[in-house]
Amino acid sequence: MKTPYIYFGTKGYYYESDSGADQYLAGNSATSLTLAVAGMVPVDHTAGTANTSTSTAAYRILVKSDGTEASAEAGSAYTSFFYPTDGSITYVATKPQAGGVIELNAGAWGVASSGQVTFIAYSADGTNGYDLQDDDKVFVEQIARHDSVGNGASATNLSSAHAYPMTAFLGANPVAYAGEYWNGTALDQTDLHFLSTDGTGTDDIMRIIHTAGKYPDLVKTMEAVANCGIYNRAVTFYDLDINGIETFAGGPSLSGANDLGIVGCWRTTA
Amino acid sequence: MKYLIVNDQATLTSMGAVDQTFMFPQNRVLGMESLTDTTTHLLIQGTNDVDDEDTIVLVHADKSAAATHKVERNLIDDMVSAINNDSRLGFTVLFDLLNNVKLPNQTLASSTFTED
Repeated sequence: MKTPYIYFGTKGYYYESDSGADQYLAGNSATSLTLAVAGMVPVDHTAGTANTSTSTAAYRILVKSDGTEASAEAGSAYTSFFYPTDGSITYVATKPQAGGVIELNAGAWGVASSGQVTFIAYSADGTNGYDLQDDDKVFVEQIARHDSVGNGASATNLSSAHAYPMTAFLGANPVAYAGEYWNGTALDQTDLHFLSTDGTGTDDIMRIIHTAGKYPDLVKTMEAVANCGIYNRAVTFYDLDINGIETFAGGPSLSGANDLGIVGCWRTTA
Repeated sequence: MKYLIVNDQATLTSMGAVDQTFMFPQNRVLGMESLTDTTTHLLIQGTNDVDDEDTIVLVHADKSAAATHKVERNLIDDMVSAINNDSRLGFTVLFDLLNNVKLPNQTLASSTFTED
């Protein structure tokens, strides 16, 4: 019996609203990002602006300030906003402005013990450091398929990819997700369940982070893929290549555009 | 129902043991996954244990190299096309080391079949 196949590449995405003005991700102490939560586990990285080619080139870390700061909290190396770029917020050197997004350089954080991200304080490095404040929003976004992100089967392998026959599709489950994209777009999470590739009774979950309210369109997209009648190749639901180029199935019309607003896509287990 | 055949042995006399030559129906495919830079796995429902998988390892060029970074994606298309093939024979040879048959984006050497 012929069946269409659906293909998923990997894009890690992690969001948090900082609590307690700590200098860590995923909690108030050094806590590792996990594959299930973030879709990637950044490999160990020593903070330093030159340490980019082997450890941080595949992802970026952005901070959106919750408030306009009166004291110096961002290093002097930062001179403009990553977002917005329309001049609606005036950049003030070393003093984060409410709503302004700054892209940290590789000197602003370190990674240890398989995914523990610790930010360098401004007081420790007045050039690259950044003091996170309570309710600042932090975004970790994978931007290329790269072996610096340990979300393959091991840290030295490229991001994983998975393909399933649509006959193995079990269903789409919306999951509560309190997150947003760095441009302010509210996000939702949908878990796509498939029969496990290892034959056991535990299902495989493809986790999709997408624009809020797109669950109905996502369901229709899965239906469209299942009934597309394409049998000589796999239909790409989402992919991110080594050059940072993304491929989308699109929405229910399979337009090929990012109609679902996908910002994250990964399998929750390696 | 169509069937797929794989053989990872180069001589006729070595084809009799387990983990060497195999035929399976196209609806037993559980999925495909690429977890390393030079191999992509085709996973099918286990022969000896239906709650386990049999693993067909297809070797390919290094997907971390700029010149061949699409090879794994293209190989998955090769597999899907073969699995869904409307062959009048009723079967399709996925790869066969003895007769030098392989998928376009596959490297035949070291491609293997392993029962659960």
